[in-house]
Amino acid sequence: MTETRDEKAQEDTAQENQAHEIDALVRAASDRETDETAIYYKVIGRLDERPAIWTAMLPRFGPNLAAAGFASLMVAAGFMGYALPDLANAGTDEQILALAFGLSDGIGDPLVPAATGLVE
Amino acid sequence: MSDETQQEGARLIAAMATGNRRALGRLIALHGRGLTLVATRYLSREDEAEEIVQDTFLRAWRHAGRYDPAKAKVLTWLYRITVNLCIDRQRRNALRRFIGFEDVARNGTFEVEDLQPTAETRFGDQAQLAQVRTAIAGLPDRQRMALLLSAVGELDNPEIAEAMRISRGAVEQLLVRARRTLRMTTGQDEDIRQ
Repeated sequence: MTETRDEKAQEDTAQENQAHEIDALVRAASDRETDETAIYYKVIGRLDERPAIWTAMLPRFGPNLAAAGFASLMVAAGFMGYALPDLANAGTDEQILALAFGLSDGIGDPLVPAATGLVE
Repeated sequence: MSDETQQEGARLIAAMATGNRRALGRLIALHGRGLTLVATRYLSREDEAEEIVQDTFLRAWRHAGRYDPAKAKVLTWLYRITVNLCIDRQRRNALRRFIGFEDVARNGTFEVEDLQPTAETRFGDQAQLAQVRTAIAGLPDRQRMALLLSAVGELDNPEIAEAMRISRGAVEQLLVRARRTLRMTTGQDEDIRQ
């Protein structure tokens, strides 16, 4: 019995060591120089960015746009080979709508929840 | 993440909610590197990863007032935004490639191989690291993200589950599969057997 427990403990330790070795490789392979100061200045430069035009239109045309966005989403999901439940599970409502709207014009900034009333 | 880092992060986000840009700078200094490394390795695109990280902090700035430290740790919250943005970006790229808006070659997975290595990796086995990068890029999306959040982001399994919005059991499975695949594709398995 004790022997079995020892074997199990050794096996667990071996697996843990293997995981650590792989993780160390992944860390090394992901390592690169980063410039946090540059990130800060780029973000600061974008703080006053205006929302995309369709985002600004949402409060007025929200329901229609949402319907159009959902239809786009269905088509997009079909093209991309995604099942709709996959999309729904993977993202928030905001993301799903942003995906649908963002596809048409490549707008980078998805919907602002405050503008849509959606909860993130 | 230590309790101190979490407390500092929560204070910074509270300050950001009042418009304090210095707090934003400090938050970026604390977490910008980790987010950048994870996004870069997940997308295999340095330029897109940098945009994702900027977007992450922009969102954190805009929604700082909605952050609730009782619901999520700062780091988990930031990584969740990054994960969501990475998924969005991949989907958009997939559709753009499908409809021909973007050159497929531009979206290759090996564009970051010429990134400048840090001193730590400069003298390492570059060939092996290139092999590992290729292996990581070949992992299924969710396995790749879970592994990067664990190994590079240093999130524990419950935090990964929260960031990816999946169960802890699912995280464990993803990590086991990802590590097993990497062991096999990078030859680590043979080293262990010998």
